[in-house]
Amino acid sequence: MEKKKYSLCLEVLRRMKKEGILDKVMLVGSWCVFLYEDYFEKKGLLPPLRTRDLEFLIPVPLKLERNTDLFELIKDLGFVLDYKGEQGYIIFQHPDLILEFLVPARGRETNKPFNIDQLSINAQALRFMDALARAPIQMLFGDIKVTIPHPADFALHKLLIAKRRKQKAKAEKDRIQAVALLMALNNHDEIETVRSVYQAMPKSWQKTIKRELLDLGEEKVFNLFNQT
Amino acid sequence: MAIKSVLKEELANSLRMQKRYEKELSKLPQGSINKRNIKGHEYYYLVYRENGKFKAVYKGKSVSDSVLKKYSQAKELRSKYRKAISQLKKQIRYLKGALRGKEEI
Repeated sequence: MEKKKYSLCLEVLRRMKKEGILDKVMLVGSWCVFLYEDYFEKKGLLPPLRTRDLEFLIPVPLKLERNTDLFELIKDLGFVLDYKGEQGYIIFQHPDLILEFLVPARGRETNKPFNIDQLSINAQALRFMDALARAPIQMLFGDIKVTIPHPADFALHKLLIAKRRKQKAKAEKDRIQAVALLMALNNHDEIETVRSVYQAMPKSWQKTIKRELLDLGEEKVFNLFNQT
Repeated sequence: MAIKSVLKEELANSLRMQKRYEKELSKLPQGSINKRNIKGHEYYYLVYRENGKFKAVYKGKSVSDSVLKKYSQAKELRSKYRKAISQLKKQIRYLKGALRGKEEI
């Protein structure tokens, strides 16, 4: 990873940590894969096809000791505030990094941004995000402890959402990452975890995951955790 | 094909970001506050360039801390935004080149 991007990311995380925000949110998205390489003690686990997006999953309700204007916290690093899409989801942009905020979607499906007054931002509500928060793990990003989803949750979630992606390339990337992670989990003797996560999922989710893997011709990978 | 699509997305992002930075840059107060010592007395001037010419506007014998802070923050941000725009221009050039290439990505 480019040094500049890494340092900027680290500084953002450091400031969020200092304000007590980082302990309450979870890092999701392709940056997790970078940390999974440490988890599996294996470099080059996945193709280094990574965007600039740094995505945070924010729990609802968010309980912070004090409110912080998140943009003001990092503005001096050269970020500009922008609004994404017709709905106007807030993003913080920098040539090296784009910060996005997500919350789990509950109730009726809506595109409306979800306001998070404690951080003076809004977030995009997405389905299946709860699946990522089942059993989070903590990893070191530089000297900062960050919370990320367990790789089993991450992999199965990728398969769950691949079909919902509007961009084919992103869906393809999700599938590649998911299969690579499932194989890494198998090599790491953690396929039992994948099995129990899969078994605990609603039948419709299981069906989606199965279909995705079979369509990819990854029956062997599916059988790793489908066997009882 | 997946890479090409990612590059296209990155290009769209970069173009959008460039516009956003240019807009933010235009919103920043122009110039910076300079202190001059003339015959043992301190005077403050707002210095800036207009149409390639250097201008200095007298602001008084003292300037409030908030004004000084405002201009110093603007100066810092201006430098960061300009750097970002220059970086984005390079990225855009690179991405356009990569997407124009004949070889399959």
